[in-house]
Parts: sequence; structure tokens; C-alpha cells
Amino acid sequence: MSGLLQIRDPQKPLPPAPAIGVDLGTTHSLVAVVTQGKPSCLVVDEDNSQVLPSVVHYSANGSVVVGKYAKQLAFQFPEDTLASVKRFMGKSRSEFEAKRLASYRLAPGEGPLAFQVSGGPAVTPLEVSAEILRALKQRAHAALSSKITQAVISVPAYFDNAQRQATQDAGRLAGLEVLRLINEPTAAALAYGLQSKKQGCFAVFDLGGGTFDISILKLTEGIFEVKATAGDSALGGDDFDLSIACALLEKWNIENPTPLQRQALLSAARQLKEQLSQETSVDICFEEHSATVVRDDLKQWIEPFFKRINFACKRALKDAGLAEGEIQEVVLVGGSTRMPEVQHWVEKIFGKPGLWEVDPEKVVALGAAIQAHLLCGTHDAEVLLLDVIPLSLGLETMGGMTEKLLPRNSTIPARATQTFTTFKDGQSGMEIHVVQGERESAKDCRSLAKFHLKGIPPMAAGLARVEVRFAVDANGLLSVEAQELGTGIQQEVAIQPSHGLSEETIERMIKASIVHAQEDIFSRLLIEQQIEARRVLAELHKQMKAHADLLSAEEATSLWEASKQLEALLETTQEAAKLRQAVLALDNQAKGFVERIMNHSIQSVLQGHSMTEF
Amino acid sequence: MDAVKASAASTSFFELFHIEPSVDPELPLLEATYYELSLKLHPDCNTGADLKTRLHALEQTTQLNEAYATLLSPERRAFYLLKICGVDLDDKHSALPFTAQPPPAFLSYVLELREELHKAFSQRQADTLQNLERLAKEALQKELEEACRHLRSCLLHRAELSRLQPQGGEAKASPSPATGAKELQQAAAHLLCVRYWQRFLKDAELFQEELFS
Repeated sequence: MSGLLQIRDPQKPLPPAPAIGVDLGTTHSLVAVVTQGKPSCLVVDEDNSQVLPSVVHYSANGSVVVGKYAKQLAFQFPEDTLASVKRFMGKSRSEFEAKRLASYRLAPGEGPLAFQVSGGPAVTPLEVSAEILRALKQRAHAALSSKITQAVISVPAYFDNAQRQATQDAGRLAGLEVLRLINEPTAAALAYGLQSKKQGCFAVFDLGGGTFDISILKLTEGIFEVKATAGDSALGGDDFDLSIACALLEKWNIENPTPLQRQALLSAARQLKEQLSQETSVDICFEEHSATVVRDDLKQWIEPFFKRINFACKRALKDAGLAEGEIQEVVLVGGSTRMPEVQHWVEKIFGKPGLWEVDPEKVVALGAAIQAHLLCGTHDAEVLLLDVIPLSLGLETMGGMTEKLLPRNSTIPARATQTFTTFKDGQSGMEIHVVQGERESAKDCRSLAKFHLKGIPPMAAGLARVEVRFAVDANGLLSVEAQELGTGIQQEVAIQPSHGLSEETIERMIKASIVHAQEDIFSRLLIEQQIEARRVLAELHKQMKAHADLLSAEEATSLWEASKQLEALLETTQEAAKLRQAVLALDNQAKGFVERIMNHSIQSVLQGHSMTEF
Repeated sequence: MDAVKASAASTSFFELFHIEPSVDPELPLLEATYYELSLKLHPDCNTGADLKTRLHALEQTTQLNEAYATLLSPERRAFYLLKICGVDLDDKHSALPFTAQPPPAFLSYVLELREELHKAFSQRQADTLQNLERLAKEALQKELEEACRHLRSCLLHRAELSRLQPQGGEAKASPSPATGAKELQQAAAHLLCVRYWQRFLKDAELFQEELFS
């Protein structure tokens, strides 16, 4: 957070507020900005990390914690700590699928999909995402010393209209003007293409924590044309963890795990997955159970996902009108592409190994920052993104069938018009149902809006002409208009966001959040330090109990007193800096003790083994 | 609800790309023009402009995108050319100047393959599905090539007519309108068959998708 310490010459005008690029990921999020022509990710955590875990904790006293500290609290409060909410963006209550091991508590009753947390009313995925965006915005503000108002936010290319709408509204709720929703693979291609200066046809294979996208792009002198995209907005590293965890549960015959067990097992599964990217065999212990897992086990557990990924890749190639051999390079994006098995899949599908030339975890944020910079308008670089809609848009016709108005992979902005007529004499209204998806039957597609056009003058069947116009903007968001051509009666259709929050609710939330914005940043710092203090205290007490023999009576008393003081301060102070200092002081005081513990553990490990083993 | 497509766009898509209507436009040229126009018209390249200019940019880019998609795809291009020549197969309301029905032999063949498709799906035979898909693709290609052959004659005929017409109202020794109409009818007949195969392929794809998900 060096930015806070920078001293600015008061004579100099403030630098223009940069627009940020945000990678709002399932498991973690990043924020980047272009400065002096180069994009870079910003530090978002006290430990100098550029990665913010997409985890939000709601504590009993009503405060909200985002990021690393929230993740730490997940073990203690699995039900009040929400992770991977991106999976539920734009989903309705009926679409909520509780994964076997997840510990979300669905709020009771009707209304939008929301989670019950202690210390306040239920929160919707949109609000949780807004907390993450707000945290990124505040931390970017701190890092850049300039107020942030505009952002480009990334979304999976395969997100449907409702998921996009929810993301855009989350941005607004966080007090950001969303300049653009950029598709993640397109953002990656932008960062990669501008850096490598390569031209031709590329595939971007983006496997993140919760979503999979494959995009085929053609790069020609500054033009990034998306030829086709396909994917699965519910397939990612999270699912691998879940498969691993389920396999272990089965192996160990654990039935009905508690929320705490689930959390611990998922975390162990993730660790196992990551370790198997480095090593060929890993030992895992969980409570009284243990097992040795080799890469072949992992391969078998995640094999079912290969079929879905392979199919999506083949379809994207087909839609782009290209064969595998015509793809010059496959660019890998997303943390899950670090897995050797996933790299093996890529090679199997495309006949060539995938590449990372830009950090696969940062490339999306970097691309979003570049697009933000381009859209700010003060440049004359000839760079242009031509993106597509991932799913077909259409209307329900007689018999529950769908009529596609805009096929998938249409370049945006796009529009389409269709004229309908009445089928009964004197029919005065018409039901219009807007759907998105590829399926033949309307009920198998995602329903985006249903509306009733009224006031058609009485005519014989087939004479009235109702024109329905679809327009998709550069964010991939749809708007619909209908007009009876004879009378000119027109109706604009609000695509009712299926996240279930009305426009008024969102407006109210935005107003409330502006009032609280100032307090927010201070309360965040305080809450984070409180968590850190509690963690240090708990650890110290645990170690003092376990290694009492390594402490002199004098030391024990002074450490005990110091920890009492910190506990008292924790209850009384509202100043984060004071608390921070006290934590550091206690940490310093315990240094000698901690060193002895370390030496002691090394020795006790060595005692049971011969030296040659090391 | 009965669906009826709206009628023709105001400016010809070919005009937008500064080329004559053609069955075989030069694709690299089409792409180059598309990129050039996009860089000029796209709202993202006009972010500094006033609202009116940006709205106009949006409108023009939308039309450009529609035009490019239509001209780039051989199938969509053929249907569009047929429409330019006066037969809009998408307009279910306007009567066609001939009986629009593929020959019975064709229909029974498609029906037969459809049965096989459904059978392969219900028995989850991915290989058979893929084979049927390939067969349909080849059949579609053949029909499309035939349609294009007739469309080329139609366009030639039209060009002749418009070359002769401005000189003196009624064309005297002009190519017979009957020949033109016949070519047009032939093209439409083959494109109707293309429609059948397109639907077949869409179903084949959906089935495969369901097998894999």
C-alpha cells in the first residue's frame, strides 16, 4: 500500500482518474490498470498480493470482510462465509443447485435467490459480488491515490444475458460506472496479442475456478475478431475439488459430513490437486483417515469433465469454420490450466501443447485494463475488439418451439427483427416470450422475459402485424421492443433481471452504499486487524499450552500479560493502526519462543529418521 | 403465434461492401473491407464523439455486422441473393411464384435419415450420429452448389436486363424473362432442400450435445 504514503505536491493537479480492469473470478479476483501505456495488476492485500480471494464473510455484528481474511474465517464460520458466488449470478431460486459439499444456507421463502448469513438480512449473489468489487475499487483507490469511478469487468464468454445483467448491476452497486463487460478469453487475447504482436487464428482455452470458455479468435493488425465461442458457465477447478472430495468421502466411508468437515475436506482436496501438479504422488490425512493419491487417481476422478470440454472445443472450431490444424497457438488462461492433466487434454484436442506467455492468472485482468484504457477515449491506437454473443436469442412460437432471431456467435452490436401476427379474430393482445439457448423447445432454453403486448385493434386473424426488434449492445446485453405496425402501439420490454432485484431496489442500495463508503474503508482495515489479532492470540495460546516446557516462568508471565493487553485493546480500540502495532509487538516478543519451537520440531522429526532420508 | 419475417433491408449488403451482388465474392477482400469499415464506424472507435455520432455509429456497425455475417456464410449468402432476385424463402406470408415443395423422393430420403438419427440418439450411438451428420453435410453441400449454379445464371440474366433496359424502355432482343424465372425457380427449389438439411444438422448437433452433457 505504498500509494498511501506517497506525498503529492499540492500544486500539481490531480491525475485523471484511470478506469480499472477487473477480473471478477469465481475463486479469486484481480484489478489492473494501464499506467504509462503498460497494464499492471495492483496490490490488493496487506501481504503485497495482487490476488484477492473472492470470499466474503458476514460477521454477527453486521460487518463485512472480503479476501484473505474472509477465507481464513471460512473454517470457523462456514455458513457465514460465502465463496464462489459467481456460480449463482443471475440464477433464480429454482435454478439453485446445492452441491453436495457446499455449505450455503438458502434464505427461506420466495423471492430472489439469497443466502442466510448471521448479523443481517439474507444477501443475494449480486450483493456479494458487489462487496468484492467494492473491495477491489477501494484497494485500487489506495494503491493509485486517485478516486476510481469507471471499470471494465470481465465475464465468462459463455455467460448468458441474466448472468451478464447481474454482473453489470453488481458493478453499479459497488459505485462503478461499468464501461464494458468484456469476455474473459477476449480480454486474455487482447493482453496476449498486444504483447506478442502475433497474427492469425488463435484459441483461448480458459479454465478458471468455476467456468470454462473456449474462444477462437482471428488477430489481424490490431483487430481482435472473435470467430466463435463455446463453453460451460458451471465447470471449473471448483468442480475438480468437489470430485476429489467426493471420491475421498467414498473411499473413507464418511456419510453426512458436517459443514466444518466439508469445508476442511474441500480445502484438502484443493491442496491435493495443487500438489499433484508438482508431484506425482501425495499423501493425504483427514481426521483419522489417510490415503496416498497418485496422478492416475486424479485423472480418473476428473475424466468426466474432459468430454464436456472436448465437445465445447469441437463446437467452437466448427462454428469458426476451422480445423484444429489451422489454429496457430492455444493460449492457456485460468488457474486450472496449471494442472498437467488439463494440459494433456489441450494437446489431445488441438494436437499441440497450450502456451502461457502471460501469467494465466493475471492475463484477464490485464486485458480488461487495456480495454478500459482504450474506452476512455484519449488514445488513437487502432485496436478494436469484435466480440460475439455466446448463445442464440429467440422467441417462443406456437407449440412451445423457439424461433431464433440471432444465432449464437453473431458479432455484436447486433440486431434482428421478426414480424408476428394474430391467430384469432379480434385478438387484442399478444404474449411474447424471449428466450436464450440452442434447444428446440422454449422450456429448455433460458427464459429472459415474458411480456404482453396490449391494445391491438380488433382485426381478422393474420392481419395484425407485430414487429419484435432485438438489439444486443457491445456488452452482449439484449433489449427488446415490440410494435403493432398498424396502430404504432409500441412497447419497450425491460428484460426483467432474473436475479430478482428490481431497478428501484438496486437504486436504493446504490444510494445507501455511497453514504457508507467513507466509513467502509476504515471499518474494513479495523476488522482485518481484529481478525489478525485474534488469529495471533489463538496461535500463541495454543503454542504456549503445547510447548510449556520451552518457556521459562518469567517469559510465560510476560507473554501472558502482553496477550492480555492485546485482548483488552481488541475490545476497546477503533484504530486499526494501533491494533496493528500491538500485534507486531506481541509477535516480536514471542520471537524467541517461536524459534525454539521450530528447532524443537526439527529435532523431533530427525530423531525418528536416519540422516540419509533427508 | 404465427411467425412472419419482415421484408428486405433498405441498403443492399453488397453495396455496403462496394461490390456487385455475386455468388462468389472474394472473401479476403470482404474481410479487409469489413475491418476497414469497422475501424471507422465502430462505437468503440468513436468514444470521444457526441451522443448523436455514437448512436449513428452503433446503428451503422450493427448493419455492417449483419451484412458481413450474411455475405461471409455461403448458405446465408445464397438465401440473400435469392431474396435480391425476388424470392424470399423466409417470408412465409408472401406466396411463392411456384409450388415450394421438394420432390417426394427427396422428402422420403430425409425422413428415412431422420428416423435413423432419432434411433441413434435413443441408443446413444455417438458414431452413428456423427456419420449421419457427415452425410447430411455432404447432401447440403451438393444442394447448395446446385443452387449457386442457378443463382449465377440468375444474376447474369439480371445484369443483362439492367444493361439493356436503360437504353430504351422495353428490351427487344433481350434474354427471355422466362429463362430467368426458370433459373430462379431452380435455385429456390435447391435452397428449400438446403433448409431441410440445415434443420437436420441442427437436430444432429443438439442430440450430440445432449449425449455429451
